[in-house]
Amino acid sequence: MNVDAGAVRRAKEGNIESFEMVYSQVAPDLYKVALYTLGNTHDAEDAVSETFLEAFKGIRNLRDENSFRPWIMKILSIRCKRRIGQYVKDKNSIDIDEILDLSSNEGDPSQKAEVLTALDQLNHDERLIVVLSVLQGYTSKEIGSILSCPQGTVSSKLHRSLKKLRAMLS
Amino acid sequence: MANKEELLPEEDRRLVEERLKALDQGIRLPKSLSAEVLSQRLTVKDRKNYREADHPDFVAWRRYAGMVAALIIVLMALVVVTNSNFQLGGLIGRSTGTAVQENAAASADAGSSAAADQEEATSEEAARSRLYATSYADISAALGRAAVWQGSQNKTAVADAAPNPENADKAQSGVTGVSAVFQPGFTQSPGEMADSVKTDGTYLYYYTPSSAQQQEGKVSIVEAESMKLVSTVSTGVCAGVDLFVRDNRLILVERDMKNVASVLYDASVTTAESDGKGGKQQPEVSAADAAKEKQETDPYGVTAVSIYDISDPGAPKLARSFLQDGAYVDSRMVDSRLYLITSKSLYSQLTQVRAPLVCDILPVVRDSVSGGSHVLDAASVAIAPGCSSQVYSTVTLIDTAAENVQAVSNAVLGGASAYFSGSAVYICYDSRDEATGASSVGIVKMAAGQDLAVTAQTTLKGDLSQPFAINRMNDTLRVGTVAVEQGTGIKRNNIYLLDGTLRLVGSVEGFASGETVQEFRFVGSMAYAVTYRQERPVFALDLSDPADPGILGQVDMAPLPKYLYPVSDTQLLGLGQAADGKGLNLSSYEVTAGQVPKQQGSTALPGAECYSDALADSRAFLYDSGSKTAAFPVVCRQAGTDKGVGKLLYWGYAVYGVADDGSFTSRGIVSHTDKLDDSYILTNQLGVSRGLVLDETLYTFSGGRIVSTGLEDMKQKAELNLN
Repeated sequence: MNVDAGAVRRAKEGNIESFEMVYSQVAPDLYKVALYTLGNTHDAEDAVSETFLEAFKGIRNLRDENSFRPWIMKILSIRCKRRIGQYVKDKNSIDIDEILDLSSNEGDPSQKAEVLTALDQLNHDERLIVVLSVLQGYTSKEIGSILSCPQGTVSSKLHRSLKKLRAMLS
Repeated sequence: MANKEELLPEEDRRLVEERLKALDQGIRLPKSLSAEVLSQRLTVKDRKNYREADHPDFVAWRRYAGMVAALIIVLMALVVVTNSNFQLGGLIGRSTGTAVQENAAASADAGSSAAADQEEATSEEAARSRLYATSYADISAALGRAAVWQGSQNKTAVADAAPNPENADKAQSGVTGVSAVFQPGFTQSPGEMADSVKTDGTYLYYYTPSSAQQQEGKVSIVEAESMKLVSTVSTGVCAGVDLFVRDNRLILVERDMKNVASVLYDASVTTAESDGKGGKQQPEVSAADAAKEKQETDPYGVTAVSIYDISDPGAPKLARSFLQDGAYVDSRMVDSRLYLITSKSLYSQLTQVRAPLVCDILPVVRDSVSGGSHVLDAASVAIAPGCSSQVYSTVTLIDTAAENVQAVSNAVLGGASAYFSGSAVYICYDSRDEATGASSVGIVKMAAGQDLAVTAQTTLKGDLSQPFAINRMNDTLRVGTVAVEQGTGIKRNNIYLLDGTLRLVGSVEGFASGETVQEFRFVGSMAYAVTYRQERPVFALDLSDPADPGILGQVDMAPLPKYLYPVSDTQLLGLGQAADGKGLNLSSYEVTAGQVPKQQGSTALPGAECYSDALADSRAFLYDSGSKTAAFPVVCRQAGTDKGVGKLLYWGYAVYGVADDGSFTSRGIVSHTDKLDDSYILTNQLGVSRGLVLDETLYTFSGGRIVSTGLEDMKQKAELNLN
């Protein structure tokens, strides 16, 4: 869904209803990115609610209204990274059953489980890059800006991750 | 370089995309994340700040109010020209009741609201109105009281010190010192700590001081995989530099900078414009002379933050700079927020030299966002009740991701040490009961939010037994003190448990009778009190129920190692000297709530006399969870004799594998030189001080080199000479 730049401008000026509107326009994507990256609904919900609050407090610092979506996605990616950093044990796994329950009844469940199992083999950074590129449609340059890493690094990680996924899918 | 994305056949890429998109269908946003639900969680203050953000008049009013208030303080300060040590006598005839109420009284006034949030908010408001100075006159009064206390405690120091800037060191010897407190029990503290080495996963960032005295150091930016130096950033002349790296920003915290007093003490803070009779008076010294005086009396008394844009690591650009009055205490980063704490001691003999300027009496900050220096206004200074020292602890919050947002600074007058819990900064200070003279420890809590507001204050019996005797777990603050009974001199060991508003919820007073606790260690829900009798008994307390702490009594265990690192919720690693005080042991412990930690494994480093920097600085200890590797710098020798120290066996970075059962496997020592010669290693700065693991490669750092070593085979891969 496109974000209404006029609503972003009003949100920057202090209109809370406008902020709620623009948040609603990106929230489903925020949730999905967090879900695949962190692997479970509980952490994903925490990350998105923290992103909401941080975006609420910081929106007046947003320079370009048309950049709201990548801006808030950047906040989310930072939140996800912080959460990952807090895992004392290396908690890399995706709760496959939980995500299958969320997904629609259309499509082959065994194929969906296979995709989730394959995603589970990637680390958090790789998952985040794949999701932002394939499901959210960001270019490598945009992803580099969101994740604050060089475009070349994003490209090579994306390539490696897609190759890994392909090798695991029937 | 070819576009690697094109190397995956298009049909394969399409297959992966289709499968991912099929999975994605149907995943809906849960109701709990809807805008309506999340908005309900916004506090009144969040909404107010959101709306007020667009009222620049509000900000400007505060700035002008600060300037007006600065004139008022000079009026008040002129009174002290005829007195020594900032004694203001009866001039300030106001009641200081708002500044010195005890916590119990504030609690009584806090109202009886049933909702915990409302009660906490009310308590926060009460703390704020009670503690913050309403004007600079309050601050002057507090300075006067502290000076009287200091004067009575340190008569010899004051009497002997001549009113000459060259004797500043002697004069300040009576001022309460400041210690950095961020390693409670040497366990992991919340918030990222600054360090001389950082990585963002692609590049290494490493600070090395100059080998020559009084020269600038540098931060080297190195591409990790190729081990190529990409660029360097020069630093100022200072005691040292610690780094953070965050979101394309390299943040330098330059500790105790020299030669910047003239920048910080500009004309706007070196004012003395009133003669007390309604007229104007020229300051006795110019801004340049005031800066020179600061440089002479407090040469390392400024801390700097420089933020570089490293979007292109090959060409770092300075994006922002910040100077803060005072010696460096500590810093932390949480997300993009940098917290900086410094300590400014007032030059107590100053009034015998000349009339004070505003910069002499208040902390000064300078932010490149706003341009120009300014003293903190009265509304940003909290006066610690019963404070007995002329020391400011200044806490500043800089949002490194928002370069146009001015930093926020608040100070506590009287602060002596600080503890950062992630959501709050606790400033501890020495206090005393005016009636009995009994010493106590005061704690002021500042919320680590956008405005660093003081939210609570309390006073506890005794002194902090050591700087690390304060620790927060969940919402409970645990504090260990030792109190001396007036009259008898008997020492009583105490532990206090406080809630989020610093109200007492539980305590154990007077335990381990006959012993004096030298050190408290907090490990999960347990507290261990170590005494220094010959057999070093250890007393354990169970703090799992803050309202009902339990004394387990003296426990049969060797004292815990100096440094403890939590590997998981149930496992700790420990590094400490061996029982003979000379060897070095690495050990692991299984931790269960309510029970004494059980040692799982232990290994002694080879060598009769060993030492590690990690015993003094927890940042030197590395644990990588991915590879289950523990590593730390080490220097080991043969046993010394009466004729001198033992022969050097190795000086490098000890690397161990840690198994799930807590046992250790030595993987070797990484040294940056084969020459076993102390002088050679010191002269060429080849002692390894830090290490980190990236993509199964161990990078070790000395002043002269960075060396990469394969973690699998422990073979050197590459080396970069930094000199």
